[in-house]
Amino acid sequence: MSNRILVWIIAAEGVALLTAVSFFLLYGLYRDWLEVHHKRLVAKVRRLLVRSLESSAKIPASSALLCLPSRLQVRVLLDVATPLSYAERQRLLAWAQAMGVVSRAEGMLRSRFWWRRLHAARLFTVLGATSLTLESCFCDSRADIRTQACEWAATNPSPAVVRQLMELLGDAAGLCRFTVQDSLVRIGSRAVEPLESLIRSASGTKLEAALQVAAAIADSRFLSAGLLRSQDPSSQVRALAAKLLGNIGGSQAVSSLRASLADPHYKVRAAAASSLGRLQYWPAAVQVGMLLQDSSWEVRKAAGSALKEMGPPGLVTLRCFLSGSDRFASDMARHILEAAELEAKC
Amino acid sequence: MVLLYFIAVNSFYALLLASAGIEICEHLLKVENEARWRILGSGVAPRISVIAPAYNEAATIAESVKALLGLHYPNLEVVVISDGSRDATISVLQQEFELVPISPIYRRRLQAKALRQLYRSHIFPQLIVAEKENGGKADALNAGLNLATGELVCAIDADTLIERDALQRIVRPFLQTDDVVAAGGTIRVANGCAVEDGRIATPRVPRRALAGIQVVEYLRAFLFGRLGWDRLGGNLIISGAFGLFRREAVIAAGGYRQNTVGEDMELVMRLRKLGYERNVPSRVEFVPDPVAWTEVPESLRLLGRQRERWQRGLAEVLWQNRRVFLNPTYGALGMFIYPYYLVVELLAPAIEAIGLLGIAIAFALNSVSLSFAILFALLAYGCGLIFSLLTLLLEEVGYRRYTGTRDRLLLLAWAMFEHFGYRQATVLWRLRGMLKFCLGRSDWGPMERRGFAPHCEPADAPLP
Repeated sequence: MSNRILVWIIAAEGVALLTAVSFFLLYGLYRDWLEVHHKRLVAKVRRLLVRSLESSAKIPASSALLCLPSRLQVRVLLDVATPLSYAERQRLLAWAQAMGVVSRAEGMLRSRFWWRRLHAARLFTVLGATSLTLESCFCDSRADIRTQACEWAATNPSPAVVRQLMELLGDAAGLCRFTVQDSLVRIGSRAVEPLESLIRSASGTKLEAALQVAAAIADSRFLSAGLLRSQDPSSQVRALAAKLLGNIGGSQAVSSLRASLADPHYKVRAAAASSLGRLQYWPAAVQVGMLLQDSSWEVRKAAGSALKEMGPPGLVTLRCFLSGSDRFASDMARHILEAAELEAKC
Repeated sequence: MVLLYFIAVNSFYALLLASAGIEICEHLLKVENEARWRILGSGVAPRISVIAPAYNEAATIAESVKALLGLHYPNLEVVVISDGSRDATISVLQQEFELVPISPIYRRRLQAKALRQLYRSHIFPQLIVAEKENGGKADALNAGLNLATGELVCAIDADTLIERDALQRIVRPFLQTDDVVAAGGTIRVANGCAVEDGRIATPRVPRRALAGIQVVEYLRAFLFGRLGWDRLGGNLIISGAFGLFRREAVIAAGGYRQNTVGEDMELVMRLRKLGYERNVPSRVEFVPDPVAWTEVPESLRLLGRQRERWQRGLAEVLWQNRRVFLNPTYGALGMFIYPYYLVVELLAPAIEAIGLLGIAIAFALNSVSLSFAILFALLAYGCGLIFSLLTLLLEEVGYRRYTGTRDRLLLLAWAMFEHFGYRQATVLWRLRGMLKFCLGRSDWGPMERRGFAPHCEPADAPLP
């Protein structure tokens, strides 16, 4: 390689370095200035909003909000909106609509750039605004946007939206499924009927996700679906059904749970024991106590914890196993009783 | 040959940098204004057990554990393993957290040295402390895996300070897809930063050269290297200082191996291999924004020891998994990722040393002129500096942890000075590491900790 070529390359490197150094320093200074400038504007908008919301006066228009880049608009609205009541949020929404923020976001939802669609969806979520265009985001090709739409759905649970959420319980993207579950739990009773029929008809990941949501909502209307699924061929489904029944309670649920204590799969036995413990169903203490001798660690742990939750009858059962011949059972009993004593002292 | 190697490696680095730039932009657009608070109240967030092995960490253990207990995550457990500490580590913990001894009853799924005592905190029920016989870091982590009850486990170093919302960020890949088995976050240098209540209050670039240069190095490694590889699907290292793993996947893989000093890389390699061998989930991701801060060595002796150990660990892992090399059974891992780590990461110091030696010999034999030698050195220096500066730009555009002109100027200065002595020293240390590997040495050597000062370091501290 001749020296001349090297010189040219080094010269090019030198130019690149100078450019990089200058850009680094100047950009840093620019960002410093921008932060200070935006901080002032954000503080101004925040003060205006908080004062107006506190006084229940109409929120005056503010050019300060429109001077902020859209991501900071979202941030300041998010900061202010999060602790607000429904009525206050409606006022904030009316103000944002008057400022043109909502109509601009509506346009962004139709953008071919995913980050603009995501941004707009976040804005709608923050403000709790309704949007038919946003409902189309449930079918977006990007998982992030579907996820954001599901988050928005928690505050806009129309029957059509709830139906869409049911479909997305089987979404390939885990974060989307997680957000759907979270939103359905927040929606609560309005999701019960469609969820109940989904539990009866679905299978696979969708069914498991639906059962998890049902267990979190714990409405008694899930009882018959839960009993049906406690006989499911899949052990994972049976375990989730046991959890659901434990959260619902009642005599039918308890009978099913007691039967599940003898299930061939360890996860189901463990779930059934935990559920009986949550229900504090002490008549099952002896039956649950026998699981302290189970071959599976998870079952023994669940049984021990369940007995602790059952109160004095459970603790008595644990003490019986302390001096028993089964070393695993006595170890677990000791472990649980120590934890119970520690909790009592705290 | 050396020239071709130089061109090939730097071309690939350019590709990695471009990949990292795209990845950062995409990631920032995705997470900006994301409502992570939802995870705090979620009933379906997976339980995370933070496992912190500790050996003679009396100076920093209290602060570290307090910081861990203060992490913003709804379903959290903290497991501290004292690996046969000979100082006051356990006494400090007992005093600070009102530890109560409990029976050591747990499910032993991985082999680990015997537990001497298990403690639970009276005031923090989610804290478990285990005292065990000394067996090394890998052994301590395996003991932690046995004790942990979380679906996910976060392996950290006891002297690492994790940011409060780091777990909410690093858990994201596990919520996104079911085939992720490991995720790593960014490690930044805590030296010179103001620490208050176990967290970094003000990130500052250290004034000491050795620590300052390592800031630039770490930024290059994480924002450039790991992030770039993430987009290309080639992540092979989750830092032992901060990584999140699916507990069942790690136990199924056999836990951490004890016959290596690179146990973090070895585990990730094994998890990825198993993905091809058993057709099980094996995806490894890097998430740039959860951050952990760690203290880096500020003396040449300790730094040298650390770099030797890292190189030795890399050599051991690559040797133990040599079957993967150019083996189509292992897909991209065998055909692309392993060869990169072998040729670029492992052999780079040797090739660099040969190159320098070659130029010196050629110059002595008048085969090459002084001007050529100087120009080539300038070329190589300029190339390295460009990559460092572009990394600093990525940092400035993406995260801006270091604000203020002082810190930016310091970063520039350390990036420029890195190649005058420091880089050559790392080549020597890495060569020594490879030599020790060839000679079969397996010790860590003692590490000393200064502890986290509540304020920035003094202005007139001497340079090493």
